[in-house]
Amino acid sequence: MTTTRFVLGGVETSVSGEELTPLYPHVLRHGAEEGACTDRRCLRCLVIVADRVVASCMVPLFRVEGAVIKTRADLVTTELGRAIERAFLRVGIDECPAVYDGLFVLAYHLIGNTQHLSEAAIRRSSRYVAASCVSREQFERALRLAERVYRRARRGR
Amino acid sequence: MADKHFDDGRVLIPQTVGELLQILKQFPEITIWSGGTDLMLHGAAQRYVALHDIAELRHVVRSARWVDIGSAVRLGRLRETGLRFLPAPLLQALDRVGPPHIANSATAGGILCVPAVVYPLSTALGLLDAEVELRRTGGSRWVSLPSFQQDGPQLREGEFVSRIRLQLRPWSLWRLTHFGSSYPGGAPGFAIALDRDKRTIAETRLLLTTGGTRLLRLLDAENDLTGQALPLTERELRAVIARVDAALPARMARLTRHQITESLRRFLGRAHRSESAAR
Repeated sequence: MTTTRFVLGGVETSVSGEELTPLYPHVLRHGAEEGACTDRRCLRCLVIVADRVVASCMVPLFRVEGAVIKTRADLVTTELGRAIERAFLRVGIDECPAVYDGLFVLAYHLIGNTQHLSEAAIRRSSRYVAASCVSREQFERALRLAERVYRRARRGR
Repeated sequence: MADKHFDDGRVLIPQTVGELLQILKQFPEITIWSGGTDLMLHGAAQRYVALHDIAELRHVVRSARWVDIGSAVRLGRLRETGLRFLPAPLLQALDRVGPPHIANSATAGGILCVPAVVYPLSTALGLLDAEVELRRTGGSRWVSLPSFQQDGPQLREGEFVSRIRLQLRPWSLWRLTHFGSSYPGGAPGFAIALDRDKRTIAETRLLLTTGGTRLLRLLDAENDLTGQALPLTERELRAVIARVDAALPARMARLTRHQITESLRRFLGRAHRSESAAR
């Protein structure tokens, strides 16, 4: 048993546990869904750790010592977060609560880390969207729309 | 090195290669934790040594002819940093390595050391004559990637993968194909590259992953192709395809076997045409 400290939701947090315990039980209440897959592909429990999108079920506690962890709850209040929320609503991804948080985090990371999200990048990221209630095409449309709304809002500011 | 990890924890976190070698000498049975994408699913070892804090293993060094990739370089970062200089087959393989969260966790060295799984990335590295540096206390050795992955990772006690060296060679024509999902591995496929000298094949590489568990370099088929004039005759094509077919495992599904041989036949049949047509 060791104590791991990290910043979650802007608050310094410390948890006790075995170093190899996955991070995800500790982020569940902060906007990440429990996974429903056996091969870590379901995207439900995605979070941003030190500016990287990771599946919280795949990250052991010893890898997040001192890291800043962001979940959908932290991102939704930002300008980009609001643009993604609107796009997801328009496209109908909000009807798929199981993967909503994970796709939100993924979209945030993709749009937030590039000047312009290319079509190739959109297709690359959507290739692995494997959910029964969201199609790959829906996610691609949401990405394009969210980026457009976000860039327009930034230009107008 | 953080004392708590070294003394009483299950995970030891060295800061330098020297410390890592010391740990490997002290605990020869220890399991190396690189990206952890496989170990989080299947890991059952008593003790691990993690590589993420060793700066020396996180470098990508480029020269005019080759690139050295540290074994702890994450695949997502490798793609970002190498977008301008990495050869196209490798970039394609990196694009298909898995969902973004996998690419952000998996490492270049880790993905080569997953027992009983060969990822499509290996075939791309094979096209680029990749070699793996294995270090241990008192020495190191270089092994070609197909030899390293022939029957699971060929690591001796106390050894670890420190870097992967690949040649920056621009092939005239290449193709990287896998049948099925590239993640979580296990997809059979092939990689082929040709260098043309006018209408002659000057050099070839041909690699297969069979059932996603073995990486084979088909030297005989490469020798058959090298020096041949383009376009290949039907007889020459048949000879190469027969060699590939013989290398595929007998238990492979007939459809997959057909997909591999026909896809290869199509590539070779069009090799005399423009580069874009062959891709």
